[in-house]
Amino acid sequence: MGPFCSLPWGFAIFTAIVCLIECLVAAILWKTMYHDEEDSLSFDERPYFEFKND
Amino acid sequence: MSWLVTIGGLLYNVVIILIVYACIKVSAKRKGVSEDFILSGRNVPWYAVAATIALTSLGGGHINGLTAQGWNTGVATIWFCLAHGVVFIILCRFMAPWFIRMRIVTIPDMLGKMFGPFFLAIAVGCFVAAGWSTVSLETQGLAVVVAGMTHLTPTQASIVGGIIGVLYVFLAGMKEVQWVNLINAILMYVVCILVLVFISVYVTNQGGAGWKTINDYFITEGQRNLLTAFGSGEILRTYVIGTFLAMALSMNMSQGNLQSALPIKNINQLNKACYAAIPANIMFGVIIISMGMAAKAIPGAAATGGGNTGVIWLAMNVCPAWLSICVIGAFLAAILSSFAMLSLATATVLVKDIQTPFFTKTRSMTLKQEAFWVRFWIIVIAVTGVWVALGVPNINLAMTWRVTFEIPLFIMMMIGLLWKCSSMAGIVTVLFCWILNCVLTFTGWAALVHLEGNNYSIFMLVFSLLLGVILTAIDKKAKPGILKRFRAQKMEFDRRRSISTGGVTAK
Repeated sequence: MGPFCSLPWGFAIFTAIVCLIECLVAAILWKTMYHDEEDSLSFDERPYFEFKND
Repeated sequence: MSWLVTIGGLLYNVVIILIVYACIKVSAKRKGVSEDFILSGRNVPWYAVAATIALTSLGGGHINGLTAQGWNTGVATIWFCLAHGVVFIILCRFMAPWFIRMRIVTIPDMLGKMFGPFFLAIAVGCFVAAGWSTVSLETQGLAVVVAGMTHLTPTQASIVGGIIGVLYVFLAGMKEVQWVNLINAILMYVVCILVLVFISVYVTNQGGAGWKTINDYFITEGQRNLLTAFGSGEILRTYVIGTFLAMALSMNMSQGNLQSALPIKNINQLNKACYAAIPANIMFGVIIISMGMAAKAIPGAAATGGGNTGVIWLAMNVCPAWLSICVIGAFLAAILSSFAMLSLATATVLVKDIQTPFFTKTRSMTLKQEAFWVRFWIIVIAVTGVWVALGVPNINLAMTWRVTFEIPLFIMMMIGLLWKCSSMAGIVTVLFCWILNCVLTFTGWAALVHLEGNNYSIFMLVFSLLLGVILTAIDKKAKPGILKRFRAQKMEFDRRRSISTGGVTAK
């Protein structure tokens, strides 16, 4: 079932295409996910904020 | 020859580990900073983080598991690797950014904040067991490679592998793991691509036509399905779907995978790390499965009786001695990296989620004390992991079965992050699914719905989704999702900070 993948190049090309699709999904999710201006700060530079679980 | 290659392969790793350790020591002395053993000071560049994300989940399951599995399921075995791409997307998009923002280090800690202290206790138990069992599986992988090439008994081979695995992480913790992984990731690709070239040359020298002869073998043997992306209908039903779901939905619940992403310099760099980690992990699967399948088509390798032993035969017989040493070194490095990272991750859970909250003497630790305890637990985990390593069955199937226990945790985590947190729903869903998984394992009930084989993940996904969503919806005591509460608190924090600084915000 599915496309024929000759070893090793056909197999590599098929896998690379699926990899690219996954990277595309990753890019779309990155664009749509929550961001704030602190995302570019290192951990030490981030203002100390402690989440209160109540 | 075998001894020379084995010792060379082991030394290959020891030398890289010691060189990296020396560089870390020199750098630390020059900068005069105290070392953060668990998270490397959270200042690691994206490419080193990407290498560790890729290599942490690339271990014995790939080296021994995929080469052996490739004989049965062929090219379709790649779905085991493709699922890791989904794992890295979820890790870098949904998990690591929020763990960094909330200053949370372990998954059980996050689950405890969502579903309460009882859930924290069962999550810690699950994570320690999962991490420790995976260390055992990785040790088994090391033993297969070393014992397969020498006259060492599997026990002796496990001990040798375990000692080097501990060395990988014991000296300098996360920083060492990250940089050793980066070097190993580059060397692994170079070495293994060269092996594919030498396999082609070997087949041609034997009167064949390189890889064309290997492809023709499967067609003439009536196994054309092994060269198609989904295999036969049987392979799709009993291997591809179950394995893909198991890996894609449960490996996110690996503390080792999460902890490999947390030391990144900042959240924006996770984007680059994700794009690099996806192909770095998956394309190695192409190489290793191709090697395994070549072993089936080449009589000498096929005579060893299995894909994993066949690949060792190829490494020893089709490559020059220097390349044999490097390929065995690369195989061991892949397994050692997982061994090291999972030991560190399990030790982190023990320190952060058991020692820190439950023992007054270790409630408040300096970085030095924390490093001492993490090192202590790494030794305990490695010694006990080696001890039980030899009693575990087939690596690939064992891994796929073991990780299915984490699917209910993943589903509840997503519900708790994005929707609502219900302690009752969390506890009932997870316990029900775990009991069901055990029942399915030890009875033939899965066959009643034609889902026998490695399909436990399908049951786990369906039941945890159904129970998790329904029970959360009907629980009137459920709290809002943790992201909603976090963002509300953060907005209030930012508003107050803005007022106190006269309208000047962060930085």
